[in-house]
Parts: sequence; structure tokens; C-alpha cells
Amino acid sequence: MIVNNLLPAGLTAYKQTPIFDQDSLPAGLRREHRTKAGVWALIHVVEGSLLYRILEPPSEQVLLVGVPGIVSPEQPHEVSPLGPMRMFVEFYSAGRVEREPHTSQVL
Amino acid sequence: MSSTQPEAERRTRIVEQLQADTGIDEVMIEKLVHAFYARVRCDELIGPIFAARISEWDHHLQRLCQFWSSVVLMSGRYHGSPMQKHLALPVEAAHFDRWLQLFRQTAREVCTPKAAAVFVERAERIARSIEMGVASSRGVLLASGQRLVHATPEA
Repeated sequence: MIVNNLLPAGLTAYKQTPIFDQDSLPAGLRREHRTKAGVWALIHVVEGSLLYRILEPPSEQVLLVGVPGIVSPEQPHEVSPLGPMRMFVEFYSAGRVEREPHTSQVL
Repeated sequence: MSSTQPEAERRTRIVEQLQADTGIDEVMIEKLVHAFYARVRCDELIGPIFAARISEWDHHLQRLCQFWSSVVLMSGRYHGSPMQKHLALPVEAAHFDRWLQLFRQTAREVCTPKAAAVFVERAERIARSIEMGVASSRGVLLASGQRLVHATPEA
């Protein structure tokens, strides 16, 4: 299920969130947040669908099983469930492993 | 992935409400998918891309019905990897635009206006996700409004 050739070469997955559902999805992911410099992420939906909103520059995507969302470093974004769903986030970086992938506590 | 009972009930309620509002059901999905791909297959820009890769159209249409059923009716009937399937295709912005143009036309003809609006909104946002994924797999990060250009030469 993991699509691993969506991100620039040389990045390694170093952290994965638990699987969240529409109720357990942390408030920090639902409102505007961003990853740190050098930290990329893939948002994977494992059931249902999720609205992925990039705030700057603005765009909206629908993510589903097999259609992950790409999060670029420091890009402000938020997600909201489109009905019942399950999802998780995988974080990538080129070298140094960040203990906390986001610029503030969101998980 | 199994759902818990309250989730399943909640899903059922949401879908029932959507169906009451829009009239979308499996029959409408089947009509839309079949009419849409009949049009796609005749299209001079995107038809050949499908023709080169799909020989079992009955099976493919069945899977596409499952896909749309999962997307709109949350049926969980589809278990594929649409992003992965698209990464290797010789496509760029013009192909995505044509796909959406044909989809909008067909949805308006086959569905009620409310149902067409639901299908088209989902189609536009999924197409955007896939276009961004295809671009990214080629080392291009699309900003908002930016489009994927320069398809691979065999297009």
C-alpha cells in the first residue's frame, strides 16, 4: 500500500503516527500546522476518505486508500475527515532524525 | 480493516443521508462509470493511453464501479492503488483536464444535478492529488495552480 517513490530521492522514513480515525484524529492535525524544515510527510488513508487542505498556496485534495497526500517541509496544511475514515502519517527526512516532526506540538 | 459497530452505524447514517439528498446509488454509479469510459475510449487524447493498458474492459469497469462506490458511498468495495497505477503513465496537465472535462459532461448527463456535483467535486480533488503525485514522482513539486507539463515522450 505504501507509495514510496512520491518523494525526492534520498529521504528516509523515520517516524509513523498511530492509525487515527475520525474521532481520534488529533486536533493539531485538523488545524493549521506545518512540518519542520527538511521534514516531508505522506498522509496515508487506510479506510474512507480525507480532505487535505494546503493553505499556502491554497489547494484542496481528497485522499483515499492508494491516493496519499504529499506534505512538503514547512508547508502549512490541515486535514478533515470526509465521514468515517482511518489514516496515518509517515515522516521522512534526509539525515538528522527529528524527534518531533512538526514546528509545534500537534500530535 | 474492520470497523467498530458505532462507526459502521455512523457510516450508514451518513450514506443514507447522502443518498436521500442526491439519489446516488450503485445503479447510478454503474451508469456513470460505463457512460464515462465509453466516452474516454473514443477520446483521441486519453483513449489511446487506456487502450494500450487495458484489455479486459469488463473487469476494469467493475473495478472502477467499486472505486466510485468506495469514494462516494463509503462501501469499502475497492482495494487498489490508484496513485501507484498512475505514476508510470505518460500524462500531463492536458490529460487530466480532458479526463475531468469528459467526467463533468457525463456526470451532468447521467446524474441528478446534486449527484453530479458530488461526483465532480470528488473527481476534481482526486485528480489533483494524483496529478501532484505524478509530478512529485518525477521530481516536480506542484504549487497551487501550477500544472504538470512535459509528459514523457512516448505519450
